[in-house]
Amino acid sequence: MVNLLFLRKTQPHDKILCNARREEHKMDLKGKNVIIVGERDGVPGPAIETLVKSVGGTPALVQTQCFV
Amino acid sequence: MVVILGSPTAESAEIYARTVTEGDPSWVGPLAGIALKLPVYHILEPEIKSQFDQEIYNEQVGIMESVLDTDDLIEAVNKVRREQQ
Repeated sequence: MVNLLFLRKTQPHDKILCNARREEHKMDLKGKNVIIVGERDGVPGPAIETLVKSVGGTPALVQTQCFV
Repeated sequence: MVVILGSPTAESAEIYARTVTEGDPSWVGPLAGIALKLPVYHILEPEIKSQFDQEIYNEQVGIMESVLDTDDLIEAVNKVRREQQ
């Protein structure tokens, strides 16, 4: 039986640290321009727009995709 | 500038996320080969959800949140963000 463990990809240590730092940083929507891409079978654009406006974000583009 | 998605499946969420970060993965649209590198999130991600008033969120998204596969959607968008770093 061949040991394939040596083929496993490992993440560089600095990249792991970078991801950890990134997760600590919270994306605050307040005051940001927001592109909203909703979907009819998921969450529609206007629903997301309402939420973004409620926290002080600015919807720059609101779309609701529809695949029929 | 931030992009927020409302896609119902992990596959479509990943395609949208890749389109606004590294360019159209199908190479057929105007964003083919154009890496906008915009931060992209799904509306169901806890990081985004936690910012909204819970009552408004439930009113607007609550039903779809209970139907969609939240974990898969979050992982799909997260994966694209991780690859951008």
